[in-house]
Amino acid sequence: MEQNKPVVTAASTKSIEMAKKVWPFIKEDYARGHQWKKEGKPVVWSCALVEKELYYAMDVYPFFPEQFAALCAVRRKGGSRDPNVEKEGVRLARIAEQHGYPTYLCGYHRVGIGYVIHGDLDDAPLGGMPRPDFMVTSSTACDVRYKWFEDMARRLNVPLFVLDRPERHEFGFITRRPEQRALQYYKTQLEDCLSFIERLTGHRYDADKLNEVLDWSYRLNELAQEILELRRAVPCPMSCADEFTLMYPWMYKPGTREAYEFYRELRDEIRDRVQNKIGVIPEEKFRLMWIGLPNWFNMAVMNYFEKYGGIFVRSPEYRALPYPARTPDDPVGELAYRYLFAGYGAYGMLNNIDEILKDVVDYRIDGAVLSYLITCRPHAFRQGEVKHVLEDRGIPTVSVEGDLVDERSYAEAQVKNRLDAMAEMILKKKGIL
Amino acid sequence: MFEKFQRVIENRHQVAKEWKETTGRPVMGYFCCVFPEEVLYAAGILPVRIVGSNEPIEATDGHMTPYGCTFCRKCVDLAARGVYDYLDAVFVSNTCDLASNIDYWWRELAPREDVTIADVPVRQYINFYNYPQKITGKNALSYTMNEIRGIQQVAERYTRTFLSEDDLRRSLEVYREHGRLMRELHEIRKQVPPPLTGYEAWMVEYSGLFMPKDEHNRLLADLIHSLSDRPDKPVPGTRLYLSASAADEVTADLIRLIEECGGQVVSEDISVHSSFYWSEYAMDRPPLEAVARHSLSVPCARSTTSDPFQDMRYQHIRKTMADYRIQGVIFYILLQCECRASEFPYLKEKIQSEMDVPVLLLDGDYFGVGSEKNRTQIQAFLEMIP
Repeated sequence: MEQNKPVVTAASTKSIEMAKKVWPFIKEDYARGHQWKKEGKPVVWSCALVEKELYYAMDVYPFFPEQFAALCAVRRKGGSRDPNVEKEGVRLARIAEQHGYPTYLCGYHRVGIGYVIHGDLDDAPLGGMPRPDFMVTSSTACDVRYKWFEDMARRLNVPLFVLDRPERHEFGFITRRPEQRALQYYKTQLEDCLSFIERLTGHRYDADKLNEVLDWSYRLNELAQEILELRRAVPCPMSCADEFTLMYPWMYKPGTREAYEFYRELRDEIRDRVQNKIGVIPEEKFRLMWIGLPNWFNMAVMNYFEKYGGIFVRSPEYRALPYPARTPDDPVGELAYRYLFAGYGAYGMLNNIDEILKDVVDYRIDGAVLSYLITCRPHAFRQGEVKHVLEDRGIPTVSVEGDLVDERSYAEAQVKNRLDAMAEMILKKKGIL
Repeated sequence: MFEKFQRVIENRHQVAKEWKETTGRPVMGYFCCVFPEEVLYAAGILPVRIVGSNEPIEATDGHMTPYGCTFCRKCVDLAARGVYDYLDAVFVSNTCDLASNIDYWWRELAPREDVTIADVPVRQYINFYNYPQKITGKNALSYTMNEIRGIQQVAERYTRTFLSEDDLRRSLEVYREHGRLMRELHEIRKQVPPPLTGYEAWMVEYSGLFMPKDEHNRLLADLIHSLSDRPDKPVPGTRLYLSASAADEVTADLIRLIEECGGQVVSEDISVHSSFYWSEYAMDRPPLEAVARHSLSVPCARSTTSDPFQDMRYQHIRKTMADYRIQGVIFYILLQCECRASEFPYLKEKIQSEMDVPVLLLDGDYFGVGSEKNRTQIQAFLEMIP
């Protein structure tokens, strides 16, 4: 039987010096977490969209199965670089499928469940995730987020807390305050979560500690916003190739001094590049938006247009909306407000699309690549509409189908054809070709 | 015996339009069994469940992703083609990922102006029931009650009334009676053999989603009374439990197929179906609270609870299988139905190990339930059951 040719994928090429420091940051984070567990301290497996400030305030070390799945998407067993050794993401997804989970389920879910089913939690990239003492997830963004965690928690026989974050479907949510009933409800969810962590760990909630953590995450968010503003510059100082790598400290360590200091260095680097008009590529001919989460196993696509003078200047996935000013007398209420107002999650298609249209103007976008994640319903839902809305406004788009972490469904040749055609179209439209 | 129910199903849009013309009162459509239709009923509104149909999808292609539940796409397709134009308002519930975004597509594809004052909505055509995803725990009830007050406001503004506690209580009496009758009908299906087929039971229950509940109660009471004397009792078959994604008249064809093959569906766990009548109304509570409690009692596959060791779905299935002498369980999971697909491996394992009952998984698209593939699998499954 003819051996299947392995899918040719690669990491992205980074332009930013701080982006090259992310991998050591991640390795250090995992190593510290494993050490924490060895010392008998509590570890939580958490969904990526939970307020991490809760963990840092309660002295709990979080690991994130979604991030872990993305790691598995790029790593091969034992750190091998042999392209004939399948990626860990594929191996673990296959284990899940063999146990009855269909291939149309979220890639993160299949990898996470496959990992738990295969049982040897150490036999994984970076030593895997330490066995959790409990799990916390959120209802926001998608159903899989908590159905998956329910399943993992059952299999590992650990308690689970689900933070129920009300959806925000009212239009113009960014400019409107969350409804009072939603705020009240969500604050009690956070209070319950803190009580849950107290019961399981014996650690007492301390408002001063939470305030300290919220100070750090507030400042981190301010830096992240400044970076987003700086990236509007022409030439763009930092592309999505760096952005998706650099999101780790911002996404997973908010509330820590180390994340703030990392991003402060990053902000300084970006400021310097803007002041000196240093772009990612020597001659920027067109600017693109990447809409949707990436195919983590092939981040090289973020550099694909550079040979044509194109650059991905923005992805709307990891926005940093401004937080309200601090209210230290009610840190839990403040946290509830932050995440209902500005948190990544479920805020309806209309708001999603409205935000993208604003970005098109702010970032001077010439075209968009729609990441059509066929196993990620919240992203797949909107892409058809996004395509219509953008093309009605003269912004060309192209769709790239694939999975978040499972490269088996990725059609490399087809993707390249589409991207090449898109580049030609934009260059012609701009009179460059 | 079942013709009246069948006629309502086959002519459901006409039934609603005629009711609207006769009474001069609004008809409002809603998604999902969690929706507190009792409040609309209390305001003299006819609540009707929005479901799909068997025609091909025309209007949503290019808008709604094909990588999503076809049932939801079909519902919006009907709206886009004007089939639901008779609805005065639509309620979208925060249930599964795709269903909860239907408000967007309905607005885009079947738009209608809201009534506003200074751009502030007074009467919106599309309304959102922000149902919690965690249906137990601190403040789930008070939050849901506040959401239901929002629905009450919509009902009041459309009818220019103010609903009193007595109005709500009268509505609850009708819905309580409906639940009691449906549970009585379901109890009858414990008989060996039951005097009605699974498909007939489905017709009875499903038709109730498109007509006033008090009228349905009368038909239901008559039916229950006459079942024991039924001359054409159905042929007994292998007693089966069906757990399925959204089952409207398209996917309910599966029940007919199962029974053609020699099975007999005697109990179920199906979305767009029985979920809403398993629990009784807390009539000792204030009526709005009773409505909210009932809404939160629906054991939907998409919901979670505050229990740190989650088992709500298995406990519900176990409860609804008990005493029905189930010989086999069939799961039918629509493609892209993530909530049911996620829970299936665990439920299968538990049913097989703790109840010692064989399990068959069928999956497929909304339009493909009657496929030869399904028939073959069902026949093989039934043959292996002693």
